[in-house]
Amino acid sequence: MTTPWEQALGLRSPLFLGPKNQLEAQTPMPEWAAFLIYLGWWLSRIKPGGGTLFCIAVLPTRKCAAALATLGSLFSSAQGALDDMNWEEFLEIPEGAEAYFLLKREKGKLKPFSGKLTTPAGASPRNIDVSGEPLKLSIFPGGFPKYHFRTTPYPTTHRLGRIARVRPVYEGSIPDFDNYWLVSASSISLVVSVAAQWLRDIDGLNILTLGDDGEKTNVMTLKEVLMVGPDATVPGTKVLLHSPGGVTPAGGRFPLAVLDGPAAVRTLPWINARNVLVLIEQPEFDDSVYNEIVGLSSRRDDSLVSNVGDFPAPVPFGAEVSLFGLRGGV
Amino acid sequence: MNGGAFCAATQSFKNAAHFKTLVHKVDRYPPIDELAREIRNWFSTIAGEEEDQQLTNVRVRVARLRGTVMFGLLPFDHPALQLTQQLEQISETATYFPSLAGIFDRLETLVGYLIENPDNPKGKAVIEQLRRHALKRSPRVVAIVSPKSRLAVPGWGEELRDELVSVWPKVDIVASRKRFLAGRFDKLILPWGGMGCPFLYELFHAYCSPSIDVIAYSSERCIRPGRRELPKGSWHPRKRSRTSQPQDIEVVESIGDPEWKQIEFWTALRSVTEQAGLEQRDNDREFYLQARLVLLGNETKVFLAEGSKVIEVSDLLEGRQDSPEVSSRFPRKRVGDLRPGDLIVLRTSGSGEYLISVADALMKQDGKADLRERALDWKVALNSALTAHGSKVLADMLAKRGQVFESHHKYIWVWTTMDVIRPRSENLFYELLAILQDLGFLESEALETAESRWAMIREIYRYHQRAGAKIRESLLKKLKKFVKEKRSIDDSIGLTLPGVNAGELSVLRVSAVDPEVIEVPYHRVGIVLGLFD
Repeated sequence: MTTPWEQALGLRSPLFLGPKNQLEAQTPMPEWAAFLIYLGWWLSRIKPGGGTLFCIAVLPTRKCAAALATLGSLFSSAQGALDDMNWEEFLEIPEGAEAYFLLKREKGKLKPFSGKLTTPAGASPRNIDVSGEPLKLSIFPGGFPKYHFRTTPYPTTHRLGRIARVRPVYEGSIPDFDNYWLVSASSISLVVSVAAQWLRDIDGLNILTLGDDGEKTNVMTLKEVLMVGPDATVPGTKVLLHSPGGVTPAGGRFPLAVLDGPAAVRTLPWINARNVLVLIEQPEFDDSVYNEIVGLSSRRDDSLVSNVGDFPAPVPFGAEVSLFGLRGGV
Repeated sequence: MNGGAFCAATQSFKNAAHFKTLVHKVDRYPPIDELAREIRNWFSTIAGEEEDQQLTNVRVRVARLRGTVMFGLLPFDHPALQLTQQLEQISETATYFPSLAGIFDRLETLVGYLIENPDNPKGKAVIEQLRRHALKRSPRVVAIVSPKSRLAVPGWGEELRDELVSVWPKVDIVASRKRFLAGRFDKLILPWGGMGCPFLYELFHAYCSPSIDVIAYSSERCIRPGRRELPKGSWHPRKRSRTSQPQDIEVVESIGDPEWKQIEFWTALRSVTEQAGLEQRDNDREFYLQARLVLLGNETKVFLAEGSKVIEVSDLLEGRQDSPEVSSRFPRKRVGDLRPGDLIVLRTSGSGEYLISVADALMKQDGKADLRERALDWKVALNSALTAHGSKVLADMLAKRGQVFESHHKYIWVWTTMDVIRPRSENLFYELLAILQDLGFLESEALETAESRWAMIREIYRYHQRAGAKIRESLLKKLKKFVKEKRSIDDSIGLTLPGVNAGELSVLRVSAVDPEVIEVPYHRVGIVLGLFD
């Protein structure tokens, strides 16, 4: 019996989580775990135009919580990241940023390209200097669809290497899973946490996915499935894990940043993310964290969260969640 | 770990869903009520007295007596409670105050009654809880929160552990926040009303257990810290409604002692040290360091230099960290970051810095026993020069010789210590020796030997490095042995390191850390002292 949280994820089959020796029993995932996967998934899907969604979850414990929220974020990404962006989203890309698209080349075959936007966000048409080609494009709303613009780079290699190991888990979970997602070079989520502790907590935690026939398809450690790394340029890194002391103003804008614990909250000024999830344990929710959150909430913009929908169930006991929109980011 | 963190998290959320607070009031026991009233009377009597060291002694000793009786679980005549000795100590100090001498008899009578009628009703109630728990199907670990949060409370050591373990073997006496948060318990017993517990909020809101059993005398006030609410968001997810909110005890906003009481407590303790050197503070003929007062579980205290780091091994000894992880470097904590419950390693016998003693032993082994003395004799001369002329004069003399001093002139005092073995540059060192020679504190050929002194200092450095490696290796060996033997450390434990002949180190439990930093004479920093020394 899966929880409403799991059902809302739209996965192909139920997921099972736990130590390897307990997975055979296929005990349903605990509600708290499903809730956190959902929270990461849900926050990764919301695009508050021109702003940031800031979500704080106070929990009985943070153990494994950031990893599960990040798993949800990866599911969301694998389900939708390779979708073409729409014209409005295209207009939001800041001037100077890189855009990814397809162009017809020899024999009419589509080939992936990237290029820098040279006109300001909101301008129409938007001009692009194509990288590696003596070519400038002007993109109008009418011709926009044929370029298949995306938020992430098109894959440039089909050599999956070590990444191939995790493919069955995503294939078993995501309907119509696109293998290219695994090799796309962009990082999906940023996690700020005490890295050694974070990795220790998820050590030995496994995921089991089922095939269409209900048979077990694969068992893999959560760490492998998350494709965690400290460097976004390493192929196959999907989750950037930084310790609070190692956070610097990031170059890219992450769809979701998970700040795990009070030390991570202090890195907020350096975080460039569309949405931010802060995870705090009840005993850590002290004056300094409270004041930080109150400071942010005082400049909230409620209009940014007018269409976020609702959770499929009440949040589990012991957890509390607050969410607000911030225009112009944190 | 094998997914242990995930299972622990699942248990925490389960606990949160069903968390209950159960208060068991111990039936009215007139001698205890009377004693509590009498001690309140003592505190109100001394409130009008002028604060001095003797009054601090009275205050601390009476508070300790109250803690021993109110929080104690052993029979009142148990030697571990030391009630008779405590009375004697109070009597000694009370003689300085005529107002207290008059009321001492009553206190003595009440304590005497308890010793003659030793049945401890709270102890019985806790034992009863343990017995009931042992009868449950598949009972697991029971945590009992120790009241040793500020000053040592007698009767919470091995004797009590043995008593409790004889009823139910899986008892964990928890004295620190860290240890509590690292565990998951089937049952949690708080054997007093919670006042003064530095991790009271965690007991009620960290969900390390499915319930909390508060066992308190009817005269004790029970407190339950309210949960902090999140600030209002733009959007609110649905909350699950709870049908059984614990209503059985009073909910208060603040936890622990009131702020004024804490301030009074620390001010009194600091004054003991400050009185020693207050008159000399304004001149530059004595060396003071910024330090923080740390109270230790075995009724001792230590001033630790602010900004320095100490070895802290609670994670290692209480199983939250594997020993291979510390093979290259022991976990260290800044003094300002120390918390009650931490276990720190300090030298408790022999004099001076442990590293120095070990390095000296190594030098002796190599036939260079006098290396330190020959290389660093200028430190003694510098100390004499500073005492005679002050650091400002020496800084000015250095400046005249082109060595402009960027730090405060009092920093020169640091060169008299083993913390900073020499000035930063060879030139500065030579100029310093020249000044000491000019002032007549060093022999006339000091400058000729300066180069060889500098070379010897470098050699001493190498010995310090070797000593550090040796201490690390021996300490790790010893601590691994503790972990293997599953030895629990209550207040302190002495460590004689194998193969290291340089006095004794101890692992000591931190029971409180002064929130403020004060100036302390250098010679008192890092030395473990009695609480009233």
